Amino acid sequence: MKAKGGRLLMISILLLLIPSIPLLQISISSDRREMPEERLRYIPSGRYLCLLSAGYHTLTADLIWSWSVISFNKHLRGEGDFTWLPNALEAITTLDPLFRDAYLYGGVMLAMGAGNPEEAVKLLEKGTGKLPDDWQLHFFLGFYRLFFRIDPLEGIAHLEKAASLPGRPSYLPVLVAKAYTKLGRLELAIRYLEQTKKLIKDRGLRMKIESQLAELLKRGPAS
Amino acid sequence: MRRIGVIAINTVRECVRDKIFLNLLIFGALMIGVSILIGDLSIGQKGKFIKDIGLGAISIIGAITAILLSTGLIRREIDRKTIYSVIYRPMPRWNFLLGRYLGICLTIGLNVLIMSLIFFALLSIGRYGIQAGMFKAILMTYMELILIASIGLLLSLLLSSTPSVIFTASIYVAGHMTAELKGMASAAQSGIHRFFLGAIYYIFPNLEALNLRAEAAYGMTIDHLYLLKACLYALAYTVVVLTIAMWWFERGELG
Repeated sequence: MKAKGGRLLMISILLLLIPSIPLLQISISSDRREMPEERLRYIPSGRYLCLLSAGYHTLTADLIWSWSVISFNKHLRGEGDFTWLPNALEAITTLDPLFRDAYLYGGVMLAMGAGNPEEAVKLLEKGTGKLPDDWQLHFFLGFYRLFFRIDPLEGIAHLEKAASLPGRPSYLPVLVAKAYTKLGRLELAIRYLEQTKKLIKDRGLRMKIESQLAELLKRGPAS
Repeated sequence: MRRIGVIAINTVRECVRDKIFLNLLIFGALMIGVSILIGDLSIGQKGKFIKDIGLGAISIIGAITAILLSTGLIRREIDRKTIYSVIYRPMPRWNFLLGRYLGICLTIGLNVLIMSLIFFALLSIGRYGIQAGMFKAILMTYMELILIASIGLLLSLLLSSTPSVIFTASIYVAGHMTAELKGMASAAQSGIHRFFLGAIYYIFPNLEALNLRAEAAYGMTIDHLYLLKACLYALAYTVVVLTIAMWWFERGELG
C-alpha cells in the first residue's frame, strides 16, 4: 500500500513538473538575450583563437561559422547590423584556411548582405591565395571587382583565371571577352578569345567563341 | 525524514574524507589565488580579470566535484555490492537515494562556500569591491551544480562508472550550448531538423540560463524575477530527474 502511494506521488510530481520545465525555459529565454551574435561581436582575432582552441582549429572554425550563419539570417530579417561579420570571417578563415564555403558564402554575405564589397574582395583574395585552383573563388572575386568597380581590370584577370581552371562553366570564356569589351579593351578581348580558342576542345564552346570573336573583329581588329 | 538526514550527514562525512574532494578544493583555491598574478597581465581591468577567474574557478571546480561525486558514490557501492546491506533494511529505497543526493548537495555547497569565502577575501584585500550580483551568480552556479548532480546520480544508476562520468560531463557541456541549438533550430530548413533540434533544446538542461557570471563580473544588475524563474527552472528540472532516479532505484534493478 505504502509502495503504491509512493509511486503515485512520483507520477504526480512528474506530471506536474515536466510541462512546467519548457514553460519556464521559454520564459527565461525571452528575458535574456541568448543569441550568439553578442559573442561574435567580441570575438578575438584568428591568431589568438588558434592559440586558444588548443589544436581544435577546424572545430572552432565550424562553430563560429554556424554562429555567423545563424546571426546573419537573423540580422538580414531584422536590424541589419553586420559590423561583426568581417571579424568573424577573418577568425574562421585563419583558424581553417581551407574552409572553402566560408570564403565563397562569406563573400556573398559581405558583398550582398552587408553591403561591404571591399571586405568581400579582401576575403576572396585570401581564399584564392589558399585555394588557387578553385574556379568559383576566382570567379566571385572577379565578379565583385567588376560589379563594384574595385580595380575592374584586376577583376577580369581573375575571371580569366577562373575560365582557365577545370570545372568552370562553358560560358565563362565568352563572359571574360564581354567584360573586356565593356571596359573598352577590345584588343584584349580579341586576344583573349584567340588564345582560348586554341585551348578549347569542346566543339560547342569553340563555336561560341568563334562567333564572339567574329563579332569583335567586325568592330575593330586587334592592334 | 530523520533517516534521510542521517544518510545525508554520513554522505557529507564520506565525501569530505575523500582525497578527490580535498584536492579539487585546494586546486580551486589556488586558481582563485593565482588570478591576482594573471590579473597583472591585463591592462587596466585587473578587478574584472580576478572576478572572471574567481567565479569561473568556483563553477569549474564545483562542476568537476558534482560530476565525480554524483556518478561515483552510488556506483561504487553497487560495484562493491555494499549497497545491498543498506537497501535491504526496513526503509524505502528512495530514502537512501534522496539522503545520498542531499549529502552530495551539502558537500557541493561546502565546496562552493569555501571557494567563495576565499574569493571574497581576495576581493576585499585587493579592494576590488563586492557587488550583490556576485552572490546571485554564485547562487545560480550552485543551482547549476545540484542540477548536474541529479543527472549524474540518475546516470550512475543506469550506466557503469566511466560512461556515466562521460555522459554527465557531455550533458554539462551541451547544457551550456543550448543557445546554439535554439539558433540552429530556427535556421533549419527541414521541418524534421527543426523539430529534432527544438526537442533537444527543451530536453537538455539550459545551463546557460543559470550562468550569470559575466553580469556579475561587469557589475550589471540582475533582475530578481529572472533569478526566481531561473531558480524554479533548475529546481523543477532537478526534482524531475531525481524522481525518475528514485523510481528506477525503487524498481530494484541495480547493475
